[in-house]
Amino acid sequence: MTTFSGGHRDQDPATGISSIMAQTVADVRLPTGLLDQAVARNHRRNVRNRLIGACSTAAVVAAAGALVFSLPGGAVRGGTGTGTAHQVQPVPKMQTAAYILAHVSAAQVNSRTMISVARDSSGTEYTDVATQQQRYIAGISASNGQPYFEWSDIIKDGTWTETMVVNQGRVYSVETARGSDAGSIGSFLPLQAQSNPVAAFNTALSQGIVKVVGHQELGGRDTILLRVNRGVTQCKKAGYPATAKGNCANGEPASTQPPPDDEVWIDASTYLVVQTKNYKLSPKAVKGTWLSFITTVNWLPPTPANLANLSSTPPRGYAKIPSTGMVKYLGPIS
Amino acid sequence: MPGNGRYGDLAAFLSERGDALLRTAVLLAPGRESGEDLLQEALERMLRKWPRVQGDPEGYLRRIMYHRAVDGWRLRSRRPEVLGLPEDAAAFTAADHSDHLDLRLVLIQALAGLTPRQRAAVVARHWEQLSEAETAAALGCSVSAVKAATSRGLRTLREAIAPEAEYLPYLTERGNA
Repeated sequence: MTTFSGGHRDQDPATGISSIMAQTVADVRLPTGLLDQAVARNHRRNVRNRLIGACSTAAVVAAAGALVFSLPGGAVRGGTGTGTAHQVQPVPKMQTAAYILAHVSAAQVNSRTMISVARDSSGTEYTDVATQQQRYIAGISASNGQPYFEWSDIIKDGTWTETMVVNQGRVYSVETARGSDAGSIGSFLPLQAQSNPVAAFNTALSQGIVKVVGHQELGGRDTILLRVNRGVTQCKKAGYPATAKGNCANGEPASTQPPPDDEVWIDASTYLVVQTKNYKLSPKAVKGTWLSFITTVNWLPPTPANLANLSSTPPRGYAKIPSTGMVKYLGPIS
Repeated sequence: MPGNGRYGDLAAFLSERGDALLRTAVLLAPGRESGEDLLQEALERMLRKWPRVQGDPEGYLRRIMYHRAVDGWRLRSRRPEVLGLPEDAAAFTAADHSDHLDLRLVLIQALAGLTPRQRAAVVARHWEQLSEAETAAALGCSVSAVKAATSRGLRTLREAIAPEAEYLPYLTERGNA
């Protein structure tokens, strides 16, 4: 078994790096509550995943039987599972893929002044991109007709505060931590968080990881469909070559088939993400089966009315309990 | 509560090895708060499989931390990283300890300037004292990749730290050699 010494022995006098490392972390102690927070957050994740599984109307598809097929020239045929998507038109030659991706990247940067509203089968998530304040409202209802539960995260003055309200049990919890949780919100697009996302997109484009498929009408809106090879992306990120099975031994469960390409629909005029379609391995179905999940995204200006949607306020009369005690009240749906 | 029941074993394990794990995370992240974030995320990931974790939980947890450190756990963040100062930073502002504080900050900043793989390789080799083969296994790459990442990472660290490390004669001497 590998033994981890913790570097207290300075065995590299050539650099002294070990000594400096030892000095640097000598006073580091595990703060109390780290495991509690991990347990609580893991439970919340489980609850949400179960909700997605319970509410999803997305079809189970095998990777080999993906519903969308590329055609020469960028057009596609077949349904995409959205129910409202129509025939894809090839991107006009004036709009190169690189041009589109550059605008897409710029639009995501500009979205920092806006509030995103992401809806999927499990619920609705509001995000103030600038402050990373978030509120999530479950899609299933309590017996009184209200959402079963909701939570909001606020990061202010270096302190992260999460308020969780379970309407079914008429309880709420408030958890605070230092700002170490500030970076928990990802972009709707891969590569967007790179230091130079435009360059990253261009590289991904040249490697076939990202494809600009073409224009597609989606709910009456002109959109541009992108496809992202997630299996390759994950492996590239980790610095591994993609395997024939589409996994790179880096946390993803082994599968008999690689995941289908993720799909991202971009508004053709604003270049903001308006819909995504991702795949997750089915936890119960046969090995290699992928579940598709569709998320629609709306973008709102940070008006006082829209900002008000970002807070969860426990109704009067609800009992305040420790966050770890929420397991009892979320249990029936977790 | 984690201290009892289902996660009691994990709580006991962390009470014994948590400090060492967090120290590694602080170097990998790098930074105090980032390290706590990395360790917490690794814990979350391990919790998903905790009932099935057998054998060496420390090795399992460290592998998650290394993988996450390399594969871009920072992609979760769109906020600029703020280097965490030691909680007792005020105690180090006295003249007698200012060099130590400076050097610690310089190291954290220098580590932040490395690529994730270089940082992980340097931490594994020069903090964990892992062999090249063990480091390769922990990072999921080849031994030659570890050698290259370690060499480049050390060179960058040396260039960044040497001007600040005059009180470590051997570092300056060897660094200028």
